[in-house]
Amino acid sequence: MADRLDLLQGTLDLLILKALSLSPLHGYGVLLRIQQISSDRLEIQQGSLYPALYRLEHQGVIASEWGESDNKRKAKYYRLTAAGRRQLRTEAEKWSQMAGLMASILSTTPEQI
Amino acid sequence: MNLFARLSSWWRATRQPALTESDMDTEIRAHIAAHAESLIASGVLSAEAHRRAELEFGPLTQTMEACRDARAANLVPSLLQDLAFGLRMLRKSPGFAALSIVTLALGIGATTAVFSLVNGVLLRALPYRDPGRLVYLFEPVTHITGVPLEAWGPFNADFYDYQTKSRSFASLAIFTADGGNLSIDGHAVHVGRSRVTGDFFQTLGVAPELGRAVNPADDQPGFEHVAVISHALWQSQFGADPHVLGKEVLLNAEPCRVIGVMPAGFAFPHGTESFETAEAGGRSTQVWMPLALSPKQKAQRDDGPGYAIGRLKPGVILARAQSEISAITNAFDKLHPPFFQGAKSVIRPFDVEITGGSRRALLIFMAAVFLVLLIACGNIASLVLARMHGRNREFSLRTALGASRVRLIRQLSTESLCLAGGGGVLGVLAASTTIRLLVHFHPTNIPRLDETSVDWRVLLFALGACIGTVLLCGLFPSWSASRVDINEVLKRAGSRAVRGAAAGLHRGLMIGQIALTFVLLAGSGLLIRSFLNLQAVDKGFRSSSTVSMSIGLDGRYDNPERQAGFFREVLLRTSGLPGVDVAAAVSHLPLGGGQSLSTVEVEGYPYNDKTFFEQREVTPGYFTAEGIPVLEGRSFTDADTVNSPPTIVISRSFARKYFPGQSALGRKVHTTGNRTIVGVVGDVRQFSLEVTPPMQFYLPLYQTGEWAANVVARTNLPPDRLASEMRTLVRNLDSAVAVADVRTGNDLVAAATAERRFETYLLTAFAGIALFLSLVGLYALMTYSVEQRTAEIGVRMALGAQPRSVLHLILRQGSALAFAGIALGFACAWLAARSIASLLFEVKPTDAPTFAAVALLFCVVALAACYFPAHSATRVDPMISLRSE
Repeated sequence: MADRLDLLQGTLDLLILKALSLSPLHGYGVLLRIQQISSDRLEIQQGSLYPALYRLEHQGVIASEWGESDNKRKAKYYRLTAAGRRQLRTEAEKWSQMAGLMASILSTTPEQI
Repeated sequence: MNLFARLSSWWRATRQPALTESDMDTEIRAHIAAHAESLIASGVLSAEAHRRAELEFGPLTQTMEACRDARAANLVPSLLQDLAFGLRMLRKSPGFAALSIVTLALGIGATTAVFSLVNGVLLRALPYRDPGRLVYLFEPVTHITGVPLEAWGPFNADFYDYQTKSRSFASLAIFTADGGNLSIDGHAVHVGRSRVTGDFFQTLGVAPELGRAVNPADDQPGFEHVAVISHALWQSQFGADPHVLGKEVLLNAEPCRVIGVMPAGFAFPHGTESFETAEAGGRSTQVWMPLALSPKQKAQRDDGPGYAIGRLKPGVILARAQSEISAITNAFDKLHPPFFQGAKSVIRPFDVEITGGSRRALLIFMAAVFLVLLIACGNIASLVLARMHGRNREFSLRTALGASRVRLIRQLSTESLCLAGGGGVLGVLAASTTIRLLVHFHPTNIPRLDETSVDWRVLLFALGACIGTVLLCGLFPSWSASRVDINEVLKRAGSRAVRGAAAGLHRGLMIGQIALTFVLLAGSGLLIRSFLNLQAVDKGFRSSSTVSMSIGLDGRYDNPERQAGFFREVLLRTSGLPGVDVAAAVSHLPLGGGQSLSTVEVEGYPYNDKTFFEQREVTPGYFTAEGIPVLEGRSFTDADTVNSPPTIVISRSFARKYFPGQSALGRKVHTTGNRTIVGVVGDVRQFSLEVTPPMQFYLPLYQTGEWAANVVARTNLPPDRLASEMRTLVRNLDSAVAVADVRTGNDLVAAATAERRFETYLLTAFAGIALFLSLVGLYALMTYSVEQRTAEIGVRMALGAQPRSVLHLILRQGSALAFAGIALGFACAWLAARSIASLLFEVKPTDAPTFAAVALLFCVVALAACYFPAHSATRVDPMISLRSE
């Protein structure tokens, strides 16, 4: 567990949007997809996924409809809306800017000052 | 973000809660099942897999609650829950609820009532088309001072220059405001009449309800014998006869034909403040006729009978019209006779001019009533605070059980909202009653007051006041209460955990309230003193036991002998009526409205065109009838006629100024003839009770003649009885002449003080409400504080403190608050008093006795408010209070 990272505040929404941008998924699918693309290095509280999904749907950035899962179970599938795609783009941009900035700040050596 | 998506998702969740719930359930269960399956697939035993799947998912109910919150599905049910809970809590403390609601009702009621006054008088549109574009055009001559701007209508030729040369006006008209005798089938009544140019009705944008208005074709000599009548006159004198059009009537003994009836409520220009001509037709215009100036009159640059009103073209602003008109005035100014050169034109917005004088008083009321509302808010806030402290334990428990701060604040705000709703409804009811009372008082000089009522704007205002109150007095205490430190409170298991900051806030509120109340009390104290001073002022005449009425003559009485002859006959017969001591006539009654100012040349002094004297024409016996003392020489006699040497009587201040230390008798004054002074009389407050009268002189009416005069009789007869005898008497003399404006001397004095009485009563009522509210607040605060200190008091008494020292302890605490508030209020009032200086009469804004009296009153009443809680503190039983800890 030592190599697993806790989620930073506010990043779950972005992760969900990214996961859904690849293909429509049901709730459990979203969890698996995030674990898959993060190579299992993120620790996500499973229950916290659903309030986030509901919130995003309430905001209109994702939409849902009932369908059938691979093992023939009734499942609610979520997909990105147009607004969601826009939001993902801007949020991702902000995130990478921030990450770049943080990286450059943290890598500053005394000689550079 | 996407508002529509949010709303529709909220709508779905709210509309179909059951479906949404089952969906959520199915979805989450599917998740757990799927996770369990994948665990089984990785080799975990089935039972263990399900247990682990549920464990890893996390707390189920909290997740579902978070999901519900995420889509705001809880909003409506929880609001309803809050509402029900709030009402239950209020029912549990009916004293608190009743006190809060009454406080709010008083605050909101007073504010709403005054706002509806302001609304009715200042804000509601005038009943004319697009009234914002209506303006008055005045033409004062700069070097002639002492004449109000509103008295300066343009000279005739100037007006026609404006009309033809100006590009700023859609139309421009002249109107007069006078009175006349309207004789219908041999029965005469006195009416307010306005003579108007052809564009008058078009300028105002008011159409007749029957027939037609005066048009430019009527406005020519020879075509002017037509009359438009008011709705009221049509009803009272013509029985609302639909065939009134074309009917012949006599106006001032000249025939004219009724051509139209104006709609109800239209009575311009009489009764508007600027052109108040009480002796000439009263408060409403009943007949409009064409002015029909002759070509010769139209060319006059030294005479103008009327006032000018114009309608600006759309999009023309006042400043542009003003600069254009000023240029026109400058161009023709040199054509004026030398005395009138230096004329300039002034354009004033119609609505501002109409409500002019009352604007300031109304705005002061608004400020005062706003203070009352603030005090009420302070009261509610401290009541809520006091209750919050008592409920600390409840809030701590709720927080411990997972309620968020936002949730607590929402709950408390809902309770405040219940209170404000109740208070608001009661307040609006109180306001509508108050408005009826105010209209009943109806001071004559607030125009449009009778149009005041509760309308949508007033209701909107009341709603705003409610919401503002909730925000101010509900949210703030809730916020501070929701910052409860749970551990502290639960640990102490007591109600005394939060003292420091909140208690300081509470005390600060109280001091602020007392200070505001002090300001109001001081203001009303100053007004009351002014009113008493005014009541006691030496009027210069005796108003009791006199009855007056006005009589106007028409063109048949076209020389001084005929006019004097008529009035002499009327007075002779009036004096002969049983019960009449003496009867006389005067051109303008004291306090009867109307003014006549002139310049004179006094023997031995150069002519001064800057000093104006009040001029009155009177008959013999006038000074006796009005009780004006003759100080030197004689009054006029029947011998002062057209054929005798011209005489004049002057006032005491006139004599003192021009003939100091010597007798004025026999000296000469030049005005309409070279006159000899035959008497000196006392100064009279003729025009206003509130200003020192200017120098005055009197001319013999039988010598000068007069078109209209007021008959004054000193009598103890009831005014109605005298009036009916006088009507018969005048009708027997001339059936085309009417008797109007029957009033007693005391009526006139009451009308002259009506506005001040109104202001004084209103402000005193506000101050009374404020005093009541802050005493209730002080009482509540002290009671609460005694409850808080029960344990402490118990300990003190157990250690041997006497009831007296406990009493002193509490009284000291209360009076410290009161004194701090009084000191702060004293300072504020001292500074703020200057703003009402213009409302005061013979009282300095910083009148020490008033301030001292108010401070003393406040101390006494505040001590009384603290006494009861203090007294109850002395009856604390130490055993009980110690055990309850």
